Amino acid sequence: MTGLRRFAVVLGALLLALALPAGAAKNRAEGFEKLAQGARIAIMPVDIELFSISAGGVLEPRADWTEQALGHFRAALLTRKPRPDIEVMDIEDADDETVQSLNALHGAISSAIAAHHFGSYALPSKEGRLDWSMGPEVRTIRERSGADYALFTFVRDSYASSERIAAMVVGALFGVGLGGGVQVGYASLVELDSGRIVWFNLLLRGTGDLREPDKARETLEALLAGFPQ
Amino acid sequence: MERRGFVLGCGCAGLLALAAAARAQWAAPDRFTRPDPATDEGGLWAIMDREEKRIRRSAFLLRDQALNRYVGEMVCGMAGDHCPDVRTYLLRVPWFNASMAPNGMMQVWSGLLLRMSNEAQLAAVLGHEIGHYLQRHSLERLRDAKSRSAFAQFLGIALSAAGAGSAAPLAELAVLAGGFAYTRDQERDADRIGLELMAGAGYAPIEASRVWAQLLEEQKAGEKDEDWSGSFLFASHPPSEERQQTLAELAQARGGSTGGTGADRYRTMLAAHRKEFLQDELRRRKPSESLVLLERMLKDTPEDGELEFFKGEALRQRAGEGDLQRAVEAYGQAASRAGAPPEAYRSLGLVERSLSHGEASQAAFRRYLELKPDAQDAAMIRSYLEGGSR
Amino acid sequence: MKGLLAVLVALLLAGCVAFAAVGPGPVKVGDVMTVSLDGKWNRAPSMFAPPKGEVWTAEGIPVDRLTFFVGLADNDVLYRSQGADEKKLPKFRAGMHPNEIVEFYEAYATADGSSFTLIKLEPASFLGADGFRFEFQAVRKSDEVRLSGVGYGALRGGKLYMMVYTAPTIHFFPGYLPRVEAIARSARLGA
Repeated sequence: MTGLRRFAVVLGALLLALALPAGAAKNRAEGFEKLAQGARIAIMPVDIELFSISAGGVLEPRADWTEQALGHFRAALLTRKPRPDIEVMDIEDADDETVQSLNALHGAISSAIAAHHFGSYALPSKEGRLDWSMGPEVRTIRERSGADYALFTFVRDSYASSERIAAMVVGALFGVGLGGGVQVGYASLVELDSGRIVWFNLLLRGTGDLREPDKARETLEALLAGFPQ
Repeated sequence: MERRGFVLGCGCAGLLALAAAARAQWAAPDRFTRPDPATDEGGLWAIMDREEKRIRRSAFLLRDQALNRYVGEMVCGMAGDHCPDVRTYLLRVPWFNASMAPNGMMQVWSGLLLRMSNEAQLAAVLGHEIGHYLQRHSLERLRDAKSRSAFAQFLGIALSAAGAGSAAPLAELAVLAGGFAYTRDQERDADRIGLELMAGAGYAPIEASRVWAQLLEEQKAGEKDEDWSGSFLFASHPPSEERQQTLAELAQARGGSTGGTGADRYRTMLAAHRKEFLQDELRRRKPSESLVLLERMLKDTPEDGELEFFKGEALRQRAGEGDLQRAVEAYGQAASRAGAPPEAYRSLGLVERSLSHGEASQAAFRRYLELKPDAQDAAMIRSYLEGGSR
Repeated sequence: MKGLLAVLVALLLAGCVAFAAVGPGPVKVGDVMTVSLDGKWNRAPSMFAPPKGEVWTAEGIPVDRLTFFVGLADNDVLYRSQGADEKKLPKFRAGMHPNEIVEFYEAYATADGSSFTLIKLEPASFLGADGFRFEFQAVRKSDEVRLSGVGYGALRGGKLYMMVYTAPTIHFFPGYLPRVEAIARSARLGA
C-alpha cells in the first residue's frame, strides 16, 4: 500500500466519520427499530459494474468480472436472511414505466443521501437525521410483489493504481465520483407502505473484491453492516 | 484544348481506378459473433448492451413504429447479411449525430433526421455508420492508447451521471466523445463504404457529399453569430471541405446524380415529428444556424406555413439589426399559407408589441386566442390585451 | 499532485462550501429581495448558484431546487456553465415579455438535453404587484427523472426577478408546492 493510497483510504474513512452522529442512528430513520414480524424484502435489480484500471489510468469495463460479480452478489443477497422469519424475494427487472420511474427517483434520492447525509454537504434542515422518503407512490411495488420492503443496491468496483484512488476520493467529495480504483456502493432499504428510506449504508473503501464468491459475500456483509434485524 | 481533354480524361480514369480498387479491396466481412467477455472487446460490448437496455426504456426514444420500420428497412437493405445484428434507435436529441456501437446498436439523433433533405442523404449517413461497424473501427480506437484515456474519462462521467444524478452537460460528454472519435482514415474508410452501400441500394451517390455541404453552410452561418458555440452541433462529426470534396469525387465515379433521392417519401415519414424537432432546434438558441436550415427546407417546400413560422421564430430569437421586421414578414407569410400553427399569431403579437405597434399586436393576440382558446398561456395573452405585465 | 489534493480537501473540510440554514422567518435573498419562510430550507454554496441569485434545497441538490434570480439586467445570463464562454450564452433583454422570459429560461433548462413542456403561463402577483407564473414538466437527461416545476417572475425597473422550483413529479413536487407558493406570495423587494 503506497502512501497515496493510504491517504485516500484514511481520507475516505475520515469523511464518513466526520459526517454526522456516529453509530446505527446514522444509518437508520428516526423511529425505525426493526423489521416487522414475518416481513418480506424484495431485492431490486442489482446495479453492479466492475472495471480494471491500468497503470496509465485507463478504465476498462470487464464484462466477465461483472457477470461473475452479479451472480455471486445476487446469490449472497438472496441467501442472506437478517432473521429467520424474514422472507427475501427476487423481483423482476421490469420494463414497466412506473417501476422505472421509481428506480430513477430512488437513484436521485440516493445521490442526495450520499452527498448530504454521508458526504460533507450536510443539510442543516435535516439536523443529522436520515430523513428521506419516496412517498406512498412506492406502494405500486408492494402491490406487485407482495413485499413489505424493497432493498436497492448499487456497486462500482475497480482494481487500480493509487493515483486513481486519490483522484476518485476527491471526485467523490465534489459529488462527481467514480474515477475508479475503489469500491463504491450503497444499499437502501425502503418501507413500501410509507416510502420512507428506513435504512441506508454507503460503502467507500480501497479494498474489496467481487470476483470470487467468498469475497463477494464479504463485500455484501460490509455493505449491509448494521442492517436492521 | 486537346491537352485539357487529356487532363480531364486522366482525372476521370484515375477516379474510376480508385473506385474500382476500393470495391476490389473491400468486401463485407462475415457476421460477427459475440466476443469472449474476458477480452477488451467483450467489455466494450457489455457496456454497450447496458446502454442499449437504458435506451430502450428512455423517455427520449422515438417510438413511432412506422418511422422505425422505415429507417430499420433502410439499414437492413444496406447491412446485407449483417441485418439481423444491427438494431437502430431513433432518439430525440437536437444535435447532429449518428453512432454505431460494436454490439450492433445504432443511434440516430433527431437533429440529424431533421437536417437530411431526403432519403438518399439519410442512407449515406446510415451507410457510413454501417461502414464503421463492418470495419470494427471502435475496437481499433479502444486499443489505441490515446483514445483510451479519453474513453475512460467519458465512461467515468457517463457513469457518475447515472450514479450521482448530477447533470453532466451534454456538451462536455460530446467533447470527450470527440476524444476517442474515429481517426480521419477511419472516417474516410467509412465514407467510402457508406457511399458504396447507398449507391448499391439505388440512391444517387452525390447526395452523400451534399450532407456535408449543407452542414458546412450551417456552420459558416453560425460562426457569424455572436453566440456561436463552436462546432458542438457536429461534435463527433465535424464537417470538412475535404471530406465533402472526396465524397463528391467518389460519387462522380459511382454515377453522380443517377439514382433516387426519395425526398417526398422522406418528408412524409418525418411529417408527424417535424414540428417537435424544429421546436427542439430553436431551443438550441443558434438562430443563424437554424435560419440556414429553414431556408434550405423552404427551398424544397416553398409553400410551407409551418416553416415560415419557425423562420420567424429564429429571427425573433436572434433579434439583430432588422430581424424583428423580417420576423413580422415571416409570420405574415406563414399566416397566408397552409400549415401555420396558431402560435404564429402569438409570436407576431409579441414582436409587434416589442416594436410598440399596439394595434397590430392586439389584433394578432386576438386571432391567437380565437384559434386556440385553451392555450396554456391564454390568460397571459389576455393580460397583454388588457395592457398589463409590461 | 499531492499538494493540490491536500489544499482541495482542506478547503472542503473547512466548510467553505457548506449548506447554510435559512428560515423560519424573514430571509434576505441577494441584496434586495426578502421572503418569509414557515420552516427551514438549506442555502447551497455559491458554486451551485446562478451568478445573480441563490439556490436552496429541502431534500438535496439531486432532488429539488428552489432557484432565485435576483435583478438580472440587460445582457445578463441566467447561468454560467463550466467551460462555456459567456458571450455564447443566451442573454436577458430588458424588453422581454413574460412569454419570452419563459423561453429564455427554457433554453437553459434544455441545454443538457433535458426536455421541457410548458403547462401554464398566467399573470400573477409577485413582489407585491404585477408579475407572471408558469408551470412546466421535464425529463432530466442525465438520469431520466421526471420533474415538475413552477416559476414566478416580475420585471421591476427593467430588471428581472424570478424564482423557480423544480422537484420530482412523484411525491416531492406536490408535497412542497404549497410551501413554495407561500414563499412566492411573501416575496418583496427591499430589505
